[in-house]
Amino acid sequence: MSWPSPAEEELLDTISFDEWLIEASTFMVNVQNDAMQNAGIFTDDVVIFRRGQKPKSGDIVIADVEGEWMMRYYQIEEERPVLYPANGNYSVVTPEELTVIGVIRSVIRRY
Amino acid sequence: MLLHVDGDSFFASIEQSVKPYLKGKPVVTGKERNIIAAASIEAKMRGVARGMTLWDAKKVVPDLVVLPTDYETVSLFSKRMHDIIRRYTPIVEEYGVDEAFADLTGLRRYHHTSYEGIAAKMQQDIHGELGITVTMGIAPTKTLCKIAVDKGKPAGLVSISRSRIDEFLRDVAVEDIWNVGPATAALLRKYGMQTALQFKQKPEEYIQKLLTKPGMQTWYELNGMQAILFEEQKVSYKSIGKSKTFTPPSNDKEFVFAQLVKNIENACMKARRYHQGTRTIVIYLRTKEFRSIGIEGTVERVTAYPNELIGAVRKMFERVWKPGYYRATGVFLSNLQPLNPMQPTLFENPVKLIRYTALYGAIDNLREHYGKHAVHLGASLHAQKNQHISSRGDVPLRREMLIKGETKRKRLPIPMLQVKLR
Repeated sequence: MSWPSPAEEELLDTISFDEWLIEASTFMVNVQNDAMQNAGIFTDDVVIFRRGQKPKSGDIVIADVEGEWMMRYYQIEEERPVLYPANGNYSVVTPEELTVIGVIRSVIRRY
Repeated sequence: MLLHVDGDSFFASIEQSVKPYLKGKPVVTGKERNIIAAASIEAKMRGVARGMTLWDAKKVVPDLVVLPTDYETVSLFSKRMHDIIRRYTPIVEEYGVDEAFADLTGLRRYHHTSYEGIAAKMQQDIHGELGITVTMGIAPTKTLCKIAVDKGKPAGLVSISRSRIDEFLRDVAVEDIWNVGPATAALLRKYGMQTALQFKQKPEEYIQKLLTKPGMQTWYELNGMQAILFEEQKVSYKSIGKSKTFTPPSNDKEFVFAQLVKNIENACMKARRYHQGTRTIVIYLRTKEFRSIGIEGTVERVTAYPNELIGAVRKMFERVWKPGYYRATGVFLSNLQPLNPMQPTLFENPVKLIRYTALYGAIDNLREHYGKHAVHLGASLHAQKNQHISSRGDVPLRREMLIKGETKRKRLPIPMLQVKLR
């Protein structure tokens, strides 16, 4: 006779990686450039974003700028949205028309 | 009150959702079969319809975007759509991949809004989170919900209250009523009923003499009385069916048999996953002319092992096979029962049974590592290779946009936004 294992009960208070990362409306996208490298997001990273979430200033968003797809910092300036890159080689965009597809929730990198 | 949710151009809209650069463009899916499986609203407005050949569709719309069907992504969206509906009510019937019925009765107080308000919230959630539109129909019965949805297509929300049923039925032709087939419609017309309203207003006894039970149910439903019950989420599968079309059609007997065996392997695989087995198996062949020939057979004992079915299946196959061209085969395992514990029959060698259990345990493990059909019966060999070399673009893009750690066989179950980031 050995002592019953407490493992099962103790593990009730844990969550899986799936539960930690995935929400009802999460999508993922493969990062294909270094526009956000100073924010720690590099080429080939996988970004998980929440589709349909309303962005607030400072969020990293996936946005549609007149048919071009960008991942940038979202900032409201003088009541207008401005998209900031995290890389000096890319320019700041003040779009006429902008649709935010989702807000970034996590970044995953496999080495 | 009941609610019917119906995805608008579901397969095509999903493509536009994961490839947002296709929004506003005429998009169809079904490239791998050369027949249109779904058309986006833009394609429909320009005269493209489901079931058309790609050839014909391209003639009507030269700039048509043609994509292969991405069943994996469609399944992910389908599950999410049903999950969103379940946020608002526990009583949901998944009616196919892109439709659902939900019972909203008694939930107004809980959600602090009207039935229309609840449906509108669901609609917004689905639109916001999945990037697709759905049409909502609210009514006292399923049949009326269907009519409401027909009126609301696409992306609308139509509610039929009890007091306004008649005005909604006035311009609905009898053949457009849910569950009314061409024969019933013809009969109703013969008796002077052209519209759903005329049908609804006939006395009960009159319809009772004319139609059988399903027709009667429809009459009750049009009169606002719920006659078609709710089938909630199935916990166990009552039957499992697998079928597959192959192109081009084939007259090669062993090739067709191999296709059938592969379906049996697939169906058994699924049955084992749910620890179910069967004694009853139905096989069918579909000819090039879309005629189906089927036959039912039984085996000694509840099983989910292809080896134990194949003897019986070969005999059934020999009975139905006639020389000719076939486009599909299929199989149904019905009357599913728990697989364990398995009862050996009186004259059966139990050692063999234990070996099968071990064998398929191992096969299922190999599948986990090496993909479906890593190990299969020799009889399905012909069906294991692709019959025709698939042309470029026949494979959904998602299968080619793999992220590190994914393989051609297994991908993460999260929808991927398939865009080029600037």
